[in-house]
Amino acid sequence: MKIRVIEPVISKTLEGTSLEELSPIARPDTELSAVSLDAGPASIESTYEAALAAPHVVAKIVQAEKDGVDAVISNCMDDPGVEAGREMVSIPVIGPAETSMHIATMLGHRFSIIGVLEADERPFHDHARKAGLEDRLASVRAINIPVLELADRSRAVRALVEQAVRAVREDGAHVIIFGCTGMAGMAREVEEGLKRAGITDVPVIDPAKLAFKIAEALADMGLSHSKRTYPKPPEKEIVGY
Amino acid sequence: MRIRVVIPSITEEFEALGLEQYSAGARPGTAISVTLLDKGPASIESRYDEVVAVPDIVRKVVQAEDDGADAVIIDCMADPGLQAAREMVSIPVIGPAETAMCVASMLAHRFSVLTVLDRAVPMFHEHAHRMGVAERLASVRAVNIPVLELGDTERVVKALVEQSVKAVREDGAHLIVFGCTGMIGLAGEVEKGLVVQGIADVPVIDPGVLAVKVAEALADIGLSHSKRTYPHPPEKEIAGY
Repeated sequence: MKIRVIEPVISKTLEGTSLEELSPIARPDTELSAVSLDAGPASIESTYEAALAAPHVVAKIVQAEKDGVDAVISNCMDDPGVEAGREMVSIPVIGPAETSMHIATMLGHRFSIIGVLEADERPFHDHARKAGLEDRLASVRAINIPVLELADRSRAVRALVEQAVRAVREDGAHVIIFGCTGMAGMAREVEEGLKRAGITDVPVIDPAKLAFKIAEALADMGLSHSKRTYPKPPEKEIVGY
Repeated sequence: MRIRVVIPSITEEFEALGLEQYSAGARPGTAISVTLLDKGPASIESRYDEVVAVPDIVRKVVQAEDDGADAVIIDCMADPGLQAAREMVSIPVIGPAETAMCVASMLAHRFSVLTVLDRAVPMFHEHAHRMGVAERLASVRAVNIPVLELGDTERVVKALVEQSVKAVREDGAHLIVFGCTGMIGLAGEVEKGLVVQGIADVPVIDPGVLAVKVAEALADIGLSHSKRTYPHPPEKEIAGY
C-alpha cells in the first residue's frame, strides 16, 4: 500500500525528517512518500499560516489520489486542509490533531497537548471542542521553540520534558500529546525524561507516527470518510488555482 | 506480532468463526489466537450477561499478557470488562465499541449503530457519551436477531441493509457501525446492499476488523493506555476468584 505524508510547508527539511522517523515503523508492504508544498509558508505557527497552506495542501491531496496513493496525511497539528481535502478525494485523509485526540480518549482520562508557541492554545481548544473532547483536554502548554528550531533536538526534548512534568503534576494530565509533528521521534526520550522525574505511568503520543499508523490501518481495511459528509464541491469558476 | 482475541462467551461455535474472521483482518506476520471463557454466558445481550462475563474476561486478558501477546481485543460491542482489564495489564486492551465510535467520528458527521436487540440500544448511547461523541450518534437501531442466530448470514445481511437504509434516510446517518462483533465480515455485503438501494456514499465500519487494525497500529508504536488512568488495583483479600 502507498501512504503519502504531506508536509504543509515549503521547507524541504521536514520531508527528510518524516521519512527518517516513519520508515522504521512502516509495515513491510507500505511504500512511503513525502512531499512539501510548492507555495505557502515556511512553517505553520498561526491560523493565518495554516490558511495560506490549506489550498496547496488540498492540491497535493488531489495529486496523491491521482498518483494511486491509498491514504494521505496532512502532517501538521492544525490539520490544515483536511476537511477540504476530504471533499475532493475518496482516499482517507488523516489529520494528526483529530486522530491523536480521539485515540488519547481511548487511552486515558485526560490529555495535555504541548505545542511550540503560547498562541497554540486557542487552536487546540477549537480542535478539541469540535471533536467533542474539550472536557478531556487537561491543558495546552508550549515549549516556546519555533518549529524551524526543533532540529536542536536536546533543547526541544528538555523543554518537552519540563512542560510534560508540569502538565502531569499541575494540570492533571494522564496522557501527553505533542502539539507539533516536527517533534516526531522524540516520544521515547520524553517518556524517559518523565521517568527520571518519577512519572512512569504517562504515555506520550507522537501524532506524526500515530497518524501514519492509522492511515495504514484505514487503507488496509478499505475504510475512508463518508462522501455523504464530504461530498465533491459544486462546479464553479475559481480564479488563481 | 501476536494478538489475542478474548471471546466473552462459552459458546464453542464462536471459536472457529472468531479465529477465521479475525485472522482475515490481520496483516501477514500477525498471529491471531482466540480464547473463549471458562465461566460465563452463552452470549452477551443484557447487563446481567455482561456482569457474569467480566471476571473471566479480565482473567483471560491477564493470561494474554502472561502469554506474551502484544495486544488483546475483547470481542464484544459492550466492551465488557475493558476498564477493569486495563487496570490489570500494560499491553493495549482494545474495546471494539469505543474504537469504532472514535474512528467513526473521524470519518463522518453522524453515524448510526446497528445492534442485535432493542434492549441493547441504551448501552450505545452511554458508550458515545463516555467517548465525547454523543452528538455524533444519529441513532441506534436493532435488527432483532439474537446473537446465537447471527450464523444465518443471508437473513442478517438483509436485516442490516434494511436498517441501514432507514438510518441513512430517516435518521441522517452518514456512516454505519455494526453493533455486534458477531456481524464480523459482513461490511462488504452491507455496503453492496446499500448501493443497490441507491446509497453509494455511506461507509460501513466492521468493529472487529477495525479492532485488529488499531491493535496492530498501537503495538507498532509501543503506545498503550495510561497507567495513571488505569493503575494496578490495591492488594487485598479476594475470595472466590
